[in-house]
Amino acid sequence: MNISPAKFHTLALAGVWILGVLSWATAFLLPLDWPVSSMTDRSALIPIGPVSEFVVPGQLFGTPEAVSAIDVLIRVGGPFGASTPVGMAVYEDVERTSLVARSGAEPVSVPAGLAVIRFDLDVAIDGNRRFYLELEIPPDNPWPIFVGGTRDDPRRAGDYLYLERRPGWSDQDLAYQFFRRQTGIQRFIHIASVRPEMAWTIVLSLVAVLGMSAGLSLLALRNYGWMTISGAAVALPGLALLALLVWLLL
Amino acid sequence: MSEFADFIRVSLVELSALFAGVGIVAWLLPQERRLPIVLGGGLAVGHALSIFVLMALLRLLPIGLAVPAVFLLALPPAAFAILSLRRRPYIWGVSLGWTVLALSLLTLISVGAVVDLAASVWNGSTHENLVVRMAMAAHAAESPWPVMDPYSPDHQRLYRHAAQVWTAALMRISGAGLYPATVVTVLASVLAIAGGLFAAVARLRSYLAGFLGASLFFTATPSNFLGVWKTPFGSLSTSKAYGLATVKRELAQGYVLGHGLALAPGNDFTLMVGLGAGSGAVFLAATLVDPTTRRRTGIVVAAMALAAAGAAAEQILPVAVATLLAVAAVLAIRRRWTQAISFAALVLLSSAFVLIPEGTYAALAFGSEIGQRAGFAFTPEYFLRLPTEFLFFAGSESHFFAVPAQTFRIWLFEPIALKEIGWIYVALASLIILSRRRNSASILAFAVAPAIALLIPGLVSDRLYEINIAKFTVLGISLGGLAAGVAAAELLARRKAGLARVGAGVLAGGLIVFASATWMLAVPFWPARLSEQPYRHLKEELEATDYLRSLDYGRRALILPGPTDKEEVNSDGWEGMHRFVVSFGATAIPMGLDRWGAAHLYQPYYIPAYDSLDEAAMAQLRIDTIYVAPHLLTEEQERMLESAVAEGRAKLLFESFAGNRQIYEYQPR
Repeated sequence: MNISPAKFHTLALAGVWILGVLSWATAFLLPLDWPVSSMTDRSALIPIGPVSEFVVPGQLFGTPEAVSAIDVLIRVGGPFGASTPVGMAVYEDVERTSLVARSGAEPVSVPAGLAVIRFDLDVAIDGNRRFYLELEIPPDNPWPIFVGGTRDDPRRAGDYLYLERRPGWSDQDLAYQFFRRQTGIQRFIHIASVRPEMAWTIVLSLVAVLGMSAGLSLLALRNYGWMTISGAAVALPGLALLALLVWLLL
Repeated sequence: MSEFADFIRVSLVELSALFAGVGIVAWLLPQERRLPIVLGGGLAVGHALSIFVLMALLRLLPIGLAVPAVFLLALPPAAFAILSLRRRPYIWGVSLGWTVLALSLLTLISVGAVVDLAASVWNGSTHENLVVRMAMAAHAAESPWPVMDPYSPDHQRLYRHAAQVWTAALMRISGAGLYPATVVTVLASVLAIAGGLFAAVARLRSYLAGFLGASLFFTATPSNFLGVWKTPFGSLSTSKAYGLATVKRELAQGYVLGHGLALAPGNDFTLMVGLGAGSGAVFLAATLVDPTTRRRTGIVVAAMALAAAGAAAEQILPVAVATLLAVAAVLAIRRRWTQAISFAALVLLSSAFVLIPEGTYAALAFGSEIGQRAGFAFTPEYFLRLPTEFLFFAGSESHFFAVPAQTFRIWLFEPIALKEIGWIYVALASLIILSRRRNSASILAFAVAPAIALLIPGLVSDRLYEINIAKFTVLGISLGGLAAGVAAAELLARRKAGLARVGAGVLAGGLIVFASATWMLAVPFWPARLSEQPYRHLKEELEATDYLRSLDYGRRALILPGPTDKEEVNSDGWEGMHRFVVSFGATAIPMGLDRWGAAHLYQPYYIPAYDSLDEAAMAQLRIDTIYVAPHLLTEEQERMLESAVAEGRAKLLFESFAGNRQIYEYQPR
């Protein structure tokens, strides 16, 4: 099939613009799990347990912003590959008067011991509030179960580990990490409202990267028209951004 | 808004000094018509000469006269620059694509430098290094010369002063605050490094070599991007974003104690300032081989620029001097006597000029009555070995790139060193081969400089702090980036046909990737670097330190509660009050930070003063201010303070808007 140069130019022009618009739109509109700051860097990791339907592990915690998923560390005993369903319930307070959200997962016994288990909450919980979460071990679970905890962490005063629904040591906590499901544009608006300096860094970096892409496009496509060059200048960072977001957050 | 006005004012003042360099370069190179070279080299020369002239004038004049004198002296060459740009037929000569690419990359590098600095100042990702540098600048903006050590106010901190004094000069002349002046100093250094290196390499080789060399000088870091698939480094989540965000600063660090320029602004911005001045010297040295330049004056100006670099960061001078001597030797072997003598004269003059500014070299040569000298030692037993630190890669396992356990130094060719900085060795080997094949000595100079910087830690140790020697590694990695850029440009410029063409392209691409990929990978994590908020009452802190600065200069404060030794100063404890008091408050804390600061003379008094407001100790240290975070006081400290107030020794001067900071005036009975 012969394609005339003019047709090829038109196709190339349409291609780069479609690619550019699609990549930026996807990067901005794809819902992703954004990590929300919660744990400190200096926490020492410890196994807590064995926990069971009677020795219920719980945690009182504060959320810096709305949260839609929580990672915790769970170790399932027994042969590698053995698994057991574990539930997570989030309550308004330690008295468990009002259930806020619920989730479930099925951790598997692995050689590494503690494994990170993601609990996607059925309802996102609000930000800037305190909640109480519990892990629910089924009564017919045949394996010893441990949960990951942190130690020596004075900066998290107020966040209490609970075992058997009684407060534990003040310097110990469940190891948890929060996530919030948002699109890129929602995340950016949130950041811009609470941390403008972070938003400015994002904007300036993107402008500089777009400029670099424009320079490269001008060099590589100097025989093409302005529309093709500007399309490539938009598409290159869009694709890079999309690839980065997918690699980091999916 | 007032801080924005500060930024504008201080930027204009800095630009006038930089632009003076353009006038000087226009005069030194009357035949040069390439505008990128005159502008780039001029910015670096202006940066260097302003600093040197200021430091020299401080030997003769009070600081209140020396600072305006520098800016007055800058006016004639700045005016000459404007005249020359109007009258001479300069040409830009760079395509639109390259121009846009280069300026955008420079913008991105500048954003990265400011983010690194801002993260250290406001988001607690620093230790005492940057705080001490900024404190010195804040004190120099208020105090007579010489400025005393903020942690040992009866002593001088006898090492690199020049960058801090230049920041103070910008504060004095523009009336700007400490943070805007520091940001502009860092940005001016970025401009000077980029402009000076680009112009120097472009004059010697090509625009492409200048662009790649200067770019990779900034972006060069250890090759940590090779280990990112191992995230999340024992973290608490399977999220790659979370795992990488927790090592956001370490991403640009390596196992070898050297991280390139990526982390220099937030750790020790004096290195950036020194390299800016050094770039001016490199540019002027590159013009000495040209018979159309005003060579004799050029040698003197280059020596002043190199002396400014040595005064700002002492690590630069030995590397530059050794490289210049190597160049002089090669020129002498080739019987190009005039040029060889020019380079030798530059070395001699710069070695003499570097003694003029107060700082490390002057203290080494002449000693000091009131300061601590550097503790350098000749240690050839470490030959071919680099200092190490358990950083990024040590957090993960690798069977091939073995991490030696608890190692103080590693061999340059140990597997982990090959992984971290192996690309530098490839760049150096490429330059040596290209130099021989093309019979071009100017290529070789770019291999000599990083080799010297990497070899010096194997010969010299700092008995006080090994990290001062590790800065040679930082310099070596950046110079390795320069070498990689020049090698890549040479490989791309004259490719032969067939397999050789493919091989040259792959080698050039590999060098560019290895020298820049870690830096590039770190770009998406810049916002995360600004995420931590360790200072819970920052607004009140700044309100209180503003008040401190409004008082007469020379106050000495006890921080209650606060750190009492160096380790505690480096911690995040006490909401970082001490960091803001010594820097933004321009107030001394007489605890004696470390051995540079005569800690042994202050500690025996500061500790009893801290523990019990001991009257004799307070009098000995001449403490007149108690800076208090009432909500952090223990019951015992509360009682101690109440009793001092009741006895009339302490009087409340200031309380912040929410009551989380108080300032007491302390008066002995």
